[in-house]
Amino acid sequence: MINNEDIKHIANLARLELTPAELEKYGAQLPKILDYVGQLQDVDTSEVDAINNVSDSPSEFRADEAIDWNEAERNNALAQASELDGGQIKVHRVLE
Amino acid sequence: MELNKLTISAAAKLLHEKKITSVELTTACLDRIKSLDAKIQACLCVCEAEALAQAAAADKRIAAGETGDLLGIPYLVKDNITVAGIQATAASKILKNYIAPYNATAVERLNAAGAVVLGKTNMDEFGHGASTENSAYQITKNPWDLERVPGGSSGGNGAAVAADMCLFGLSSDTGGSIRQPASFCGVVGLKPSYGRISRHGLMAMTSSTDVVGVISKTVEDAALVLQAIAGQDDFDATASSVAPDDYLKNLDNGVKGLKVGLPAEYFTDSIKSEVRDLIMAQAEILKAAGAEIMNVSLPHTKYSVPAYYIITPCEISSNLARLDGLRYGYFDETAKNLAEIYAKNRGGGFGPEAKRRIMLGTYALSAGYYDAYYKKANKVRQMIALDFAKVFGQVDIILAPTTPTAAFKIGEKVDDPIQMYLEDIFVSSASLAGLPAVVVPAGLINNLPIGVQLIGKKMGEAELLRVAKSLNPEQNFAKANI
Repeated sequence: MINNEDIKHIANLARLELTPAELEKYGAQLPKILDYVGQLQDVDTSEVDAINNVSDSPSEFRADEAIDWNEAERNNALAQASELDGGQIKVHRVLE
Repeated sequence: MELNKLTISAAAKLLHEKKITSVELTTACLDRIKSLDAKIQACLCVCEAEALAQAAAADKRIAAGETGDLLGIPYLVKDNITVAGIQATAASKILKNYIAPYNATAVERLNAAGAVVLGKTNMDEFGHGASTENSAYQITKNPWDLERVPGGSSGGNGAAVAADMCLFGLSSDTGGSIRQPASFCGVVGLKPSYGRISRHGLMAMTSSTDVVGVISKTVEDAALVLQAIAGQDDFDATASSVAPDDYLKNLDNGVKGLKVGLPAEYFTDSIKSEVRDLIMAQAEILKAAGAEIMNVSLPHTKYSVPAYYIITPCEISSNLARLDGLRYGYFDETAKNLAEIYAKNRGGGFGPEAKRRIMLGTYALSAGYYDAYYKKANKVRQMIALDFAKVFGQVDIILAPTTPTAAFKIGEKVDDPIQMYLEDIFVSSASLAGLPAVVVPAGLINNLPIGVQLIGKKMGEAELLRVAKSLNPEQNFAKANI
């Protein structure tokens, strides 16, 4: 069973601030979903390996070489940041 | 002539014969969006100036004698695929105002072919959903019935193609996100094999099943787009080095002698009898064209949704960990330290379903649970893939329903995650096994479209599309009266 403390713990691991209403909602829904997916335990999987790659071929590697962006491309990418300082992204203070 | 209603192949012919221009064609689509999208809400952004500039450039290439099936053809892009200089929010608040700095490989290849980007379409946030109700911005309506969902997650793309706002849509499918909206909106939806098209520039959701694909008005159009974008890519190590086929060459060669399997597990009581009748009628069309219809079994079908809803949240929780608002995206100014920055930006930026999946995935991957959930689900996934391998030893193509019902009402399933997840019951298996699948219109039930799904062998898109064309779906291509 998942209790309220567990939900808070998961939210903390996931770095999600949740409102009390959200904690309650997910606290009710997660056990139901886990109960539903629990039917996987009924399948005898002793004869197979787990796969998480359905490619036929192995990964295709290329030479590890940087490809330069032109100035416009670089500026467009950096423009997503709220503040720049000397071509670098200035983030908010993170240390107290 | 309403140019926006043309198929790609018909428009390409008129463009080459210089009977129309790309600017005229593009303008017709933009006008359609302007007149209709307040009602449908398929588009998250329309880039008129850029589109008209691209169209004018295409007209110049045509004037210079260049021909190409996609030269001057306007299309809409799902908002989780990047187009340089245009917003890419994946319908999430956490990426509000985010402008993509580079093109997805599929977009790059379409650009090179001279296709014209009209704008970006609505979706379930990051692809999480089967109704497009999980968008942070708007709820897209089904052009067939404005009280109903267009399906999801590519609901904006499906609705836009059905309503002739564009000639085709560039989209993505992770566990049914192209096929289910194609069924609900009465259009063609192609989910290629895993690795057939580069995922570079597609925002990662479930990296092991994500594919880029196409929503179009005809099977031939889907083949034309696939032809332009398939193939290896230095930017995606999982893009296969297997050379793409010629998807057009044998498109009209029919199905004589082909073996078509009907999986018993897809024809249970869970589908409505009217849906079953429509799908069986499709099998009869293939039989009449010379195919042999066989009953087959995919015994682990019922475990595909539970396996998918472990694998997907696990990969989502990892993939979305990169979004924290520090360098770009949603930022909560009240955060005072690093822990708060993460928690507030993510808590405030992600919507309810994204948070639900992140929570579920985080739980399933947390200490002590990995074997019971993710590993177990991937073992079941292997059994699902082995079921398909066995059946494809007996038949060439699988024919199945796409959805148990036609489009449901807006709001009907939004509070019940498991009911929404069960929308994927017939579409998640092919994703887990990495197989190509295509949905084409099979007919109407109470004036709502239903699509039939064909599943093919891995990298067997040429054969898959040939069988789809043999169904002659264009005759079922009724248009929404809007």
